[in-house]
Formats: sequence, C-alpha cells, structure tokens
Amino acid sequence: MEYNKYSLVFKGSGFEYFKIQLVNIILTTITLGLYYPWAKARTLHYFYGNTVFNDQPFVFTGTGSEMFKGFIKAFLLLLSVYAIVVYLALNEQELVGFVLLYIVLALIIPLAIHGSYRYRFAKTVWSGIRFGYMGDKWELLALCIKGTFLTIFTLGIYGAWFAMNLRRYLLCNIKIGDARFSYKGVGGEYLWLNIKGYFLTVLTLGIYFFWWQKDLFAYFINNLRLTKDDQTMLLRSTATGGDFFSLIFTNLFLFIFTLGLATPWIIVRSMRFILSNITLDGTIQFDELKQTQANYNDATGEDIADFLDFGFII
Amino acid sequence: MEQIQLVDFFDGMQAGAKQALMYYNEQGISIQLGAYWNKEATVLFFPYKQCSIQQTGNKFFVFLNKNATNYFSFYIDAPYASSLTQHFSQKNNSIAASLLKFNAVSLLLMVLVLFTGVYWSVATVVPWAGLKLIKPSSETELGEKMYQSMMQGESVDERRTALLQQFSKELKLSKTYPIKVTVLKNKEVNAYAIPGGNIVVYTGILKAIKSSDELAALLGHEAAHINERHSLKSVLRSAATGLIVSVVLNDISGIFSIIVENAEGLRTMHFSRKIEANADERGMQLLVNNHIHPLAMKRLMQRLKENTPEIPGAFSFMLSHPATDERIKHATEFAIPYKNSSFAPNPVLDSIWSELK
Repeated sequence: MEYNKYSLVFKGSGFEYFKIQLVNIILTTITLGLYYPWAKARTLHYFYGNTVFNDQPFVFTGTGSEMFKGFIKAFLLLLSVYAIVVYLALNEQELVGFVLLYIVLALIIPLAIHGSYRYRFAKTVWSGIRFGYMGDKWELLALCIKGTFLTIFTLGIYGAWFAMNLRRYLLCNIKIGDARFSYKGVGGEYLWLNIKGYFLTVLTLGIYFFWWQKDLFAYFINNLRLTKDDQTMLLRSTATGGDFFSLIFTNLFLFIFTLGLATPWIIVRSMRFILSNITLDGTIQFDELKQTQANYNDATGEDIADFLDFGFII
Repeated sequence: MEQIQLVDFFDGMQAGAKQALMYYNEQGISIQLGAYWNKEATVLFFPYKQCSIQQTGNKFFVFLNKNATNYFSFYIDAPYASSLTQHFSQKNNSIAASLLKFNAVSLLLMVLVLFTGVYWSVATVVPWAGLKLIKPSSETELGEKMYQSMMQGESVDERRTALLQQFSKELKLSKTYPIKVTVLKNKEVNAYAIPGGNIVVYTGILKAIKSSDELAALLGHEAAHINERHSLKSVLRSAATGLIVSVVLNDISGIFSIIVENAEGLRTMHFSRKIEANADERGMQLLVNNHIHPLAMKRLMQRLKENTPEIPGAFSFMLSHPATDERIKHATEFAIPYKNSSFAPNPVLDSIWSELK
C-alpha cells in the first residue's frame, strides 16, 4: 500500500476577511439583524474556500436562504420558550418557569448540536465529495442527559468524561464519502491533562499555560484518524508550546493596539496556525474516495446553536 | 469563439480529478470526459445560472452545480481565464457584491456613519418611549419600593420628619407627584430626591441652613428633580447606552446590571451640570410660585459652600451638586427680574422652621 503525507493550507488573507466583515456588518445593521444568515454563509464560504487539502479547496455549499429559514424557526421556537417562562414568572410561578427553562434548554442543546452537525457536514464538500454526520439524535440526547447529571453529582469531575464522550460520539460519526473519522480520546487522560496543566500553570506563574494549550490541541488532533476500508490516515499536531506562546501573545498585542480592529487578521492568522500545524500521514488514497453522503438542507439546529451562542462545538 | 480546453474535472462520484475537455459560450459551459474530443460521446452542458466561481491561491475553481459536486479548475494565468471569468462577474450584481467592490476605508467609514446613526436613534428613542410609557403613578410605586429598601438601616428623625412634612405641605411643590419628606439622623450635609415623590434630608443639612427661605429652596430644588423626572431620564439614557453596548458585546444581562447600578447609586447620583442647572431654575420657579424670593436659592448655595468641610469623604452634597460658583451666578441672574418685587414673609413656614431648629 502506498504511504502518503498530506498537510492543510489556509490561503485566506486578513484584509479580505476584514472587508467581508465590514460588508456583513453594514448589511446586518441596515436589516436589523435579518441579514445575519447570509453574512454567516459568506464568512463560512470564505473560510472553507481558502482551506486547501491536497490541492483542492473545501466548499461550503450552504446558502443564506436555507439558514434564514432555520433562523426564523429557531427564533420562533426560542421566543415561545421564553414567552412561556416570562408568563409563568409574571404569574408568580418563577420557580416552575426556571425549572422548565433549564429542562427545555437541556433538551434543545443536544438536538441543536445534532441539527448543526448534520447541516454543516452535509454542506461541506471537498473534491466534489460531501461530508456527512451519521449520529442519532436520541443517542446524543441520552449521552448529554447522562453527562449533565453525572457532572452535577460528581461536582464537575465527570465533566472531563462527558466532554470526551461527546467529542468521541460526534467525531466518530463524521464521514467524508466512504471514509470515516474516529476519535479515541478518553475522560481519564483528558482530566489528568487539565489537572497537570492547571497546577503547572499556577506554579510557573502562568508560563506553562501555553504548553497546556499545546497539550490540549495535540490531544484533540493526535487522537483523530480517518479510515477507509483497510486504509488509515493518522492526524498529528506539530505545534509546540513556544508556537502557542507567540501566537497568543501576538494576537493579544494586535488586539490591544488596534482596539480590536485587527480581529479579522487575528482570526485568519490563528486559522493559518492551526491548519499548518496539522499533518496527515497514512495509506488512504484520497483520489478513490467515493460519494456516499446524502444532501441535507435543514439549518434549524445550526441557527439554534447560534442563538444560544455556543457556536460549533467539537 | 469556441475553443476547447483540457481541464481537471471532478465528477462528484469519486474524489480524484479526471481529464476532460471544456468549452464555453454565451449560454454556459460544456464538458466532455476524456482527453480527445469525440463527436459521438455525451457532452454535459451547464448554464452559467447554476455555476459559480471562486479563486483560491493561484487557481480558479468553477463549480458547475449548487452542490459543488461537479467542478473544474484552471490556473489564473490560463489564456482563457479572463474571458471565462467575465461571464460570472456580469452575473453577480447583488448589493453585497457591489459593496465588496468598495475599498476598505470607505467601508469602514460607512460602518462608522451607520453606527453613529444607530447610536443616536437608540439614545433618543429609548428615553422618549420610556418617558411616554412609564406613568407617574407607576414611578411613584417603584420609587416607594426604592425608598423602602434605601431606608433600611437608617435612623429616621420622626419629630423633624413630621415638621418638615408639614413645612412641605405649606408649599406647592408638585402637581403630579405626592411629595413625602423624610429626615434622617446623619451629620453629612446632604439631601436627595427619589423618583416618584420621596425627598430625603439629612439633619446635617438642616443644621447648616439658616432660614426658612433656604429650606424652601432646598425642597424646591429636590422637588424639581422629581417633577422633571431627572432620575428616570438618566436611568433611561444609560439603559439606552447599555442596550447598545450589550448588543455590540452580545451580552443582554448588561442592561439589567446598568439599571440596578443606577437604582443603587441614587444617593450619590451625579447629575450632569445641565440637569442640576435645570433643577435650580425649576426650583426657583417653585419658590416664586410660593411667594418666596428666588434669591433664597443663591443663599442656600452659598451656605452649603461654606459648610462643605475640607475633609474628603464628608462632602456629599457638594459632590452630588458640583460647580457651585457657576450655579450661584446662574441663580443671581435668574433673580434679577425679581429685584424690585416684594415677597411677604410666610409666618406659618417661619414658625415650623423655628420648631425644626
């Protein structure tokens, strides 16, 4: 079997992203926020389109109008939830209202993650081949409910296992064509990494923080692999603690001295940093990837995730 | 012009590039698989309407359907690059596309103008709507709650409260709000108004005041704050600012914290000079309406200025009522037209005053 090495390249520029952001801000302000889905589509399109793997760019094929439909659905859904809670609160049922709010949010968040993954990956195309998310929403919901309860009962300690179980479930269900991702990070190792990171950061007056970030990034990337039939491809992080140090410090200075105006440049250079520090090696013949994943057009989950402001979790 | 080009074609079934022949005309792009043109073989036709183009690095990628599963790529220096890309630039005439053609500086200016406009309109509309929506009666209700919570842990001078209440009854201080005065045992030279009708006066300020006119001026000033809804106005103004800040920073809880801060900071509230000047003027108007010489306001200010201790930390009244000299001047100017008017002394007020002392 042929053994190959690949890397990811980000070709976007801070200046172009800055212009895109300005246009997005103008149109979103004029439309009182209604333009948001189109603005988001433009941003995603830019970032995907400038991420290149094996000479081919990624493509985000989602559209503003698809996401706008999801946006309206998500808005109405959350509005009715809040309306019920406010109604209960005004009728001296604050406690019932708050319990209801938390229960509904606990149910909505996993379903939003599910919807968001399905939409986002169905709309991610590389070399003409679609990604796809194969997870089951009820399995994810069960995982989240179990995780939330155990995390509360163990006063947060189970949080590490919860985070890794969630990540494993999500990533193991992602496919590109007929190749499947898998993740083998586990809670115990993740907890230890964080405990070690935390205490060494305190002991070294913060200096270790950058190495802690490096470890977390490496723990994410190095446990990730892609398999297709009997071929595999391993992902590896090449970033060092020193790299993280210079990235974070430069970003901080850029942000402070431009009063935040440099944010697009910061995002672009961070993106470039992350992608350039991932290498893939293994035996997968990417030219032989086959189209297997169906299209999926419902962006409601994606939009709920935006409203609740938890972004795209991995 | 139908020139056939050899391109890398992606068929959306398998990831690898396939050799294909491509030509384009006014209507769209045609593709035939293989390296040699075969008249017999199938030609795939893609109208421009469903195609899109993107430049990444030094390559153009032409996506032939909305799903981006079929596409081909060519280098930006290919001889046909500019004539092919033209077909796409004509197509895209959305607002966003035309905005993207502006340079960054003009775009930044547009954002600034837009933000200023939004800021200005929110800062005008929110206080305006708030003042319309919040009725004086609900303001009194809310003010009463604030009063109750502020009075916790304070010791009220019951006797003087009753006397001062009587004193304020003799004056017509407000048409809309029920004015209620409370005297607190506190050496600080301070007095403040709570929206809705409550006025709190410290024994320290009563001690500093030397005549019933001055006391009337003090009540006039505080009542003017209530009548003019100054607290509500500034709470609404900071709520509007808070609203903008939290939308920009994406933090809704910010609005509530600003309202809470304002409610708690009433005691040491710093009104702007403009608001203080307005309260002075309206207060003097109240004095005139009650047949008291407006110069009493000037005397009150001078008195309080004298009584401000040099020690920092004990100078509440001057702190919450700054720029005294300017205000004294203003009060003098206001009193000019009344120079020759005579104001008869009010025996009722005087007798209450002597008891208060």
